[in-house]
Amino acid sequence: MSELRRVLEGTYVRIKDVDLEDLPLIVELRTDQVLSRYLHPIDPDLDVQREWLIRQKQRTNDYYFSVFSKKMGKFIGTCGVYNFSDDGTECEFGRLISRGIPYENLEIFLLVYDWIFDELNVSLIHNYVVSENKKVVSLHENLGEKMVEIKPRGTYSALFDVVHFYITRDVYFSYTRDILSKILYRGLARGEPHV
Amino acid sequence: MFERLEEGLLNIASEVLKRDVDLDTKREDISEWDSFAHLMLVARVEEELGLIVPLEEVSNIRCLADFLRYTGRNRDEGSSSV
Repeated sequence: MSELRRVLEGTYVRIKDVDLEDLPLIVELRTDQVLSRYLHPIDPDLDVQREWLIRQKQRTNDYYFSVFSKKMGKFIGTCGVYNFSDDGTECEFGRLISRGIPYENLEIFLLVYDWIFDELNVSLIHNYVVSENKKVVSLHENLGEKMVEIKPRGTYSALFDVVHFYITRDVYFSYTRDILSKILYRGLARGEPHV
Repeated sequence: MFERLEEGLLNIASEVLKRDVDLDTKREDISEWDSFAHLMLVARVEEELGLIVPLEEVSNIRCLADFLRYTGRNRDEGSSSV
């Protein structure tokens, strides 16, 4: 069983383990035709989702998080950490879907990557992005992630061609974290109330 | 003044987005204009052109021309003037 059992709290978002009570919100998000167009469809039946979540929580090294906007006080999305290597030094970050604003969406990366690298002692994070999802492909490039290959439909994903990225601890702490912090918290430094 | 600002906006956008765009090109039509690029664009426009975009209005920037709404503000005003 793998659970965070606490809240990753930033300036813009709170991230916590998915609870059963989050499932209607997740189903609503995952059945949004625009937001979910690059994700595998899910069964909208809440009982099916409840069973999936119970099984997910029983798996080791499989974390599934709900994300809440602090400004709105509302659920805005999910993300997850899973597919750890046998020695625990590599994992995958995914299940990411969000209807947040740019500040909220980017702070998800900062909080979760900090947690992965600092507390799980992982040295490399893999990401798999649907190649048609050009903005998210661009986002991972801008985060300094290394593109490995395009995995054709039928290999990683049954539905989509997928771009495989990874980021190392060294790149994250020498580049990505600094630049993320700068653009996320720049306005706060001049005393503005956060969004 | 506006011509220099427009030129500055176009130059910054070209560097951040790694492609040329027009002042009226919509953010949603440019794959390179992702969340990271959006906040980087705002940061560089503020630093290099001296404009201030209040945090709560950053998400409302849909094209480069939208930055020109903030030309009447200075750093001392911040968002309290909105």
